[in-house]
Amino acid sequence: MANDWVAGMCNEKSGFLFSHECYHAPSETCTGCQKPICQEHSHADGSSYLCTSCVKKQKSRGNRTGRSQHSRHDDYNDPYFYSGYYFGYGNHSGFHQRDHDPFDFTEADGQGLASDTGDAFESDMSAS
Amino acid sequence: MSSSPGKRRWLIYALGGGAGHLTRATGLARAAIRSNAVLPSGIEICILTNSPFADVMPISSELGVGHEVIRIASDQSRDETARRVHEQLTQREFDVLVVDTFPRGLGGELKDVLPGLCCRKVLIHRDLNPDYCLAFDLASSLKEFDLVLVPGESAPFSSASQAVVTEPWLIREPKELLSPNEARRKLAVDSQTKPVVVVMGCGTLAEIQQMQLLADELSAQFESAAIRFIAPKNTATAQVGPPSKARTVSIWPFLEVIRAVSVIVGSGGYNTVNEATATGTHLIGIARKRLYDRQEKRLRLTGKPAGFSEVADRLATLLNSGITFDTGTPKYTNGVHQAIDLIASISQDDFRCDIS
Repeated sequence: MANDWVAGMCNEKSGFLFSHECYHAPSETCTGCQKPICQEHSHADGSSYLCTSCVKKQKSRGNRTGRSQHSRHDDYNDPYFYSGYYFGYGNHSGFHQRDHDPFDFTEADGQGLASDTGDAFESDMSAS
Repeated sequence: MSSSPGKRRWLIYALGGGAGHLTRATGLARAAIRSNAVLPSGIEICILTNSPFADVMPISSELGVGHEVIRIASDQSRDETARRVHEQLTQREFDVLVVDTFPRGLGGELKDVLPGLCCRKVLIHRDLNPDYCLAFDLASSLKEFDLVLVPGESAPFSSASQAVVTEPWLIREPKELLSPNEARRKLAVDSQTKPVVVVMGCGTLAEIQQMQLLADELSAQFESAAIRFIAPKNTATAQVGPPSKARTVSIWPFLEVIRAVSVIVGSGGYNTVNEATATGTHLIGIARKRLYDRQEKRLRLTGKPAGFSEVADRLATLLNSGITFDTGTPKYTNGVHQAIDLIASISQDDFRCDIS
């Protein structure tokens, strides 16, 4: 499989909304599938890096088995995985549905999170 | 801040993350400074902020000479922030304290200091999480304020005896908005005919990065439009790494260029929503999770909030609908003027402090 990767460019196609080619220069190699990946598509996994697709697969497997295999990737601050409280609401057309990560936050998750915020009132000085 | 005889002195407490509190405070301050009829002896304003964007927003030039911005680092602990706030409130002299949003202060630090302050106290009261209001008994805290100003949106205590609802507060008057051509130049759009779509990079740094990715992909998808990513200086491309495909422009306040903009893709923050509504600009609003206010609620009042996966479809629909360009200077009433009248009316010279 590794031989299929194109050298000299990032081979990850995960996008924020759409799957598309990424022409950035690679900075790492994914330890999951060995594809060259750029800084933007690299997700630290201990001392190595995984591509966005491999992280999504692991999150998906973890969800199916009821265990989070890589909780470190559930990073609220990662633009590829943190999609905001409102992500997933409403009707999705075909290709959006396909690219939508079902394990991102949903509205229901948002409500669940909202009920946990009581302790944060008046303690988070970056809140607004 | 050295004081000049006869001048009114306002201290505006605008603590809170993002740029919203500071933008609203600046809008009020700027209008008050220019309000010679209401405040004939002049005014000196000091704004207190811990916004992470305070250093890159040209607040001082908005206010001009003789006014002050006190910046508390956004990464300070609650205790250190509270200490700095107490220091400013107890060592300065001012006639009016205007507190934006948090009657007890962002970290509860105003609760004990407010009763001892010999000045008029004004609260800017907008939407707040009911759980917070209940858990911290904000109804009691409201009693400390002589005037509660509700800037154009429903708020939990808008029926309080000292509350007055105004039109939304904006940082520019209609006549101050740049013409479409001038605004296009400022947005670095060469074409006079392409619709301009602006993706707003605001909120947290993570949200700004996310909106940059969104702008990049919309830029690739919608070649018939000029996609611009608006973000505070030094917060966008430098954080993400690779250069952005969508042109990044740092413009603040954004309202100044809105007449060139056909569609805003942004969040449901107070300023974004009210600027779009006042000027009749299409907004594809994504409700962000906030600790204190409810963006989803705000967006629902102005249209349906969008999920990220809906943005492209909604934008395509708008762009294909033969979206109209600017048809003239928008007409809106800026609520800051009523607010200034009201604050001025409670801070006349005959005010006597009754603290024993």
